[in-house]
Amino acid sequence: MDFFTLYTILPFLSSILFLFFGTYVYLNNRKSIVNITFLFLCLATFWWQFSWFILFIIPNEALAKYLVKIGYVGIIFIPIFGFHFILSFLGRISKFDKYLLFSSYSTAIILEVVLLTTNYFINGFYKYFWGFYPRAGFLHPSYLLLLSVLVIRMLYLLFSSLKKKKIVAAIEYPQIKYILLGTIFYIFASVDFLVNYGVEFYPFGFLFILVFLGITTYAVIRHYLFGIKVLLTELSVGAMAILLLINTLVSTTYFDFFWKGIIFLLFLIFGYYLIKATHEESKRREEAEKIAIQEKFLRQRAEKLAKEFERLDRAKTQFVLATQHHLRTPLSIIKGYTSMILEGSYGKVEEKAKKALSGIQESIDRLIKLVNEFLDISQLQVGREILKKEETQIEKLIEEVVKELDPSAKEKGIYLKLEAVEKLPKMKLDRTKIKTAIFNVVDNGIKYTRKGGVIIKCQILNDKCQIIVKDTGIGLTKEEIKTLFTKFFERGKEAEKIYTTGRGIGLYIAKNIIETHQGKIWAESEGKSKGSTFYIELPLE
Amino acid sequence: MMRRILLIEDEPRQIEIYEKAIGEAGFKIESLKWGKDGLERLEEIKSKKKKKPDLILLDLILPDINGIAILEKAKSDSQLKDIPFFILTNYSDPELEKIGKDLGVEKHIIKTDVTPSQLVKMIKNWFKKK
Repeated sequence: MDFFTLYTILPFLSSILFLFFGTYVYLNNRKSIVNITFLFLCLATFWWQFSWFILFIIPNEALAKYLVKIGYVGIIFIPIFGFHFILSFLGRISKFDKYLLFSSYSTAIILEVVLLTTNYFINGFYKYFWGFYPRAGFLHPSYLLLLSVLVIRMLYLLFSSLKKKKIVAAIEYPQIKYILLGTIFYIFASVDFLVNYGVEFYPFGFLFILVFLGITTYAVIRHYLFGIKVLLTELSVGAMAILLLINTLVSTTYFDFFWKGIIFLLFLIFGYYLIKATHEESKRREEAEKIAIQEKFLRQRAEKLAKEFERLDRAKTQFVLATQHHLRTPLSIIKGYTSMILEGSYGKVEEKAKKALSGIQESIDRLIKLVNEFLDISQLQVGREILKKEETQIEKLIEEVVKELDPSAKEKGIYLKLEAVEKLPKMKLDRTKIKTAIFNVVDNGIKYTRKGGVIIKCQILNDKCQIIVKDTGIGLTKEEIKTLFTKFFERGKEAEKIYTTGRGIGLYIAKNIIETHQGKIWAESEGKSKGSTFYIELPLE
Repeated sequence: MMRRILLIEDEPRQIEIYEKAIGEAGFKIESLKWGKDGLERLEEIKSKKKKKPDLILLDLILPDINGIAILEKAKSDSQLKDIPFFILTNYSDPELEKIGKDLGVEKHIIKTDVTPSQLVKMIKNWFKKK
C-alpha cells in the first residue's frame, strides 16, 4: 500500500474531485452547452492530475519514458476548454472569439501531434524527490504563449461583462463574479510549469484548482450556477464519500484497505438511494411551489382583469351619463315650453290645441322615463352592486304602487285590487329599485287588460316573499313567455292594438332589479286572452 | 322685498324658460352663462360690488368648468358660505350628487323631472319654510 503517500494522494484526490464534479454538473443538464464545456474542462483537469498521480507512483525510468507525455495530452486542452466554457457561459460569442477558439483548437491538435510524435514539446523527464516530471522541449514556450493569449482574453471578457451586468442581471452578476474569481485561481496553477523547466519544488498547482473547485461549488449552491439546485443531502453524502475514500486510500494494510473499501462501497449504495429519495421529495416540493407560483400568477391576473373591468365599467357609466345628459337637455326644454304653453304663460290656448299639447306632454314624459331607465339598464346589466339597501316594509311599497297606478286603471275602467296582506317582516331592499320593479309589472298588467282588472297578492312561501300580480288581460303565448323579460321583447299584434307603444323594456328592468336582489321573476299564462300571472320572489334574508 | 335668484346655466332656451317662469312668479332673476362668470360674480359679491342673491340655481355641466367648482368656492368662503344653492342639472351622477350634498346643497333637481312651474313651486315652498 505504498502507492499512496502524501505526494501521490493529493493529485489523485483532486483528479477524482474534478471527475466527480464535472460529471455531476453535466448530468444535471445534459443539453446545456455551458455544462458540457464545463465537463470537458473538468475531464482535462482530471486527466492532468490523474496522470501526475500515475507518474509519481511509477517506480522505474523505463516506464516513465512511455508515460511522461500522457499528462500533457490533457493539459494542452485545459486553457482551450476553459476558454470555450467561458464563451458559452457568457453567451453571445463575437466573430473574433469564434476565430480565436477555432484557431486554438487547431493549434492544440498540432501540438498534440508534435507532443506524441517528437521530443520538441516534451523532451524526456526530470527525476525529483517525489517522482518523475516532464521536461519542457523547445516548443513548450509556444504552448505557454497560446495559454497566455487565452487567459488574457478570458479575463478581459469576464471583467467587461461583469461591468455590463452589474445593473441588469441580478442572478448572472454574482455567477460571473465567482467564475472570474475561480478562473484567477486556476491561472495560478500555472506555477507548475516552472517545474517543467527544472525548478525543483513539489507541483502544488492542485491547491489552486481545488480553490477553483470550491468557488465554483459555492456559486452552484448559492447562485444556481449551471442551473443546479444542490440539496444538502447531496452535499453531505458527497463529503462523507470523499472522507471514506481518503480513509480507504491511506490504509496501511491490504486487510484494512479491503474492509474500508467495503464500507465505502456500501456507503455509496446507501447514499445513492438516499439522494434519490430526497430528489423525489424535492421534486414534489418544487411542484407544489410551482403550483403556488401559478396560483399567485393567476390571482394577479384576475386582480388585473378586475381592475380593467372596473375601469371599463366606469368609462361606460361616464359615457351613459354623458349621453343621458345630452338626451335630457332638449327634452327638458320641450317639456318646459309645453307645460308653460299649457299653463297659459304664452297666451290663451284653445281647448283643441290643449289636447294636442297634452299629447306632446305625455309623450315627452314617456321619453324622459325611457332616458332615465336607459341609465338603470346599463348599470344593472353588468350586475354590479349599485343597490342602496335599507330596511323596507314591502307591503308599503306595493300600496304606494297601487296608489300611483289607480288613476290609470280607473281611466281604463278596470279594477286594481290589493288583497289584504298579512304583516310581513322587514326586508333589506333598495326601496326605489324594488318599487320600480313592482310598478313595471303592475303597469304592464294594466296596459294589457281591457276588461276585468289586476289583483295583487303578497305572501310568505318557504322563507321567500312572493308577490303575485294576476290580470285578466290578453294573456301570453308560450313563445312570448320565453322572451318576455329580454331586452328585445316585442308584444304581438294583439298587444299592439291595445297599447301601441309597448316595448317590454319595463319587464326587462324589473327582472334585472329582482335578480340583483337574488330574487326570481317569472310569468305564467293559460294562453291567449286567458290572462297572465306574474310572480316576483324575494329572499327574506 | 323681491327675492333675488341667480341662475347659472348655459343653454339659452333653458334660460329663457326659467327666466320667464321664475320672473313671472315675482322673483328677480338674473342668468350667467359661463362658469367663470359665476366665479367672478362670487368675487364681486365678496367685494360688495354686487348684491348677494337669495338663491343660486346651478347647472353642473357648464361649457368651461364644472359647476361643482363654483359650489366649492362659495362653500369654502366664510363670506359666501350662507348663499343657498339648488343644483339644477340633467347630469345624474350619484357621485356628483353626493359631493353636492356634502357641500350643503339645499336641493338636487333633475331638470327633466320638473316643469318650470313645479320648479317655481319648489322654490316658493323652500323660501316659505326658511
